Amino acid sequence: MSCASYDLKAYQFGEATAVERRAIEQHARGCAACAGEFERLILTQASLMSVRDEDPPRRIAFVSDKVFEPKWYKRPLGPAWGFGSIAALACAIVFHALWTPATIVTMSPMASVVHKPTVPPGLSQAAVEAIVKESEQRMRRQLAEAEKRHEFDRAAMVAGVNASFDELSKRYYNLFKVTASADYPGAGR
Amino acid sequence: MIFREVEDRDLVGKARRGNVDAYNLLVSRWERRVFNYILRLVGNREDAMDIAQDAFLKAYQNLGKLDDPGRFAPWLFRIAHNESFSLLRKSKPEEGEPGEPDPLPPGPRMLPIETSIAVNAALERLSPEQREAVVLKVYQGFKFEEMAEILDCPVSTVKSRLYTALDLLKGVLAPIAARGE
Repeated sequence: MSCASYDLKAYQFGEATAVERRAIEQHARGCAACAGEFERLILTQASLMSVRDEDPPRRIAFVSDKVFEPKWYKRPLGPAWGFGSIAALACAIVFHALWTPATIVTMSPMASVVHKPTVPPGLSQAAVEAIVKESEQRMRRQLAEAEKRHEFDRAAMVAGVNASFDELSKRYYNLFKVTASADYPGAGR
Repeated sequence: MIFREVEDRDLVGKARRGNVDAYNLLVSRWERRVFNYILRLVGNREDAMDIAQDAFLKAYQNLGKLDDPGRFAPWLFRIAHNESFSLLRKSKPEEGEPGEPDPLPPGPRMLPIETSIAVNAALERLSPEQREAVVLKVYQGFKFEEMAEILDCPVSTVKSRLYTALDLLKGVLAPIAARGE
């Protein structure tokens, strides 16, 4: 076998098999060229190893260090804090919807609106009073119907606001949850 | 070495389950070696520090993708390799084939600091790939198979790069070491 077939470098780094090692050792005993080459390889390695490893100028930041904490505006709300604030906001809206006084429509006194009926000629005083009474009853009925309609509209509006707010709250919570898991994979751990 | 591998595997397993302290321990264990590996590739402490930091962060974020937790070190060095060469490509887009380093003239015995300078100068004359092969084998002590994993190339390529680099270095450094004896 020629000298080139012996892998001295693999031998030097301890990567030769046991069979290869024995063959190289046997060959090097009788081959001055290979023995010299091996010595030069060892000297080269010794030179390289004389340059020591350096200490890093500072330690690598741990993933638990403050530096990896999200900025305040990126920080997802904690579940308790988030639910608390949403509940408080919901209460405020409902309270506002229920307790805000309805717009008061100031009505002119009946007297100023309804003119005193002039008694047409040929009608008795009793007939006039009956007409007035019937007119008043009709007005009360209309007023009661208007109040009922207003109450129904207000209840519908409150229900609509609550439903919209629930939907908004859900989206808000999901958005923060998705953003947090995308930006900070470790945040949820 | 066997115990070390077992410990790494165990720590990776814990880190995957959300134990941040286990990963911090892996960082403490490997930061010096990874930093020096990168430093010898890029030649600048601040760049090496930044790349090492990025490598550890990327490793943490992709810990779930590590197939064999026992192979954490080659996998981590693979990430560091990618980050380093990304920087090298940006800073040095094209480089010609490196020539053979000039052998030093014979002279008196060299001081350790002079040897250190000569070694660094000789390493700088190598191509980045050759230099990396020397760093991984001589300074980091990886086996050929592990080097192939880190460099994502066949063992034959690893050996070719390393052996060529050693032949170039030998011409410069062996006489220095012989003088120092």
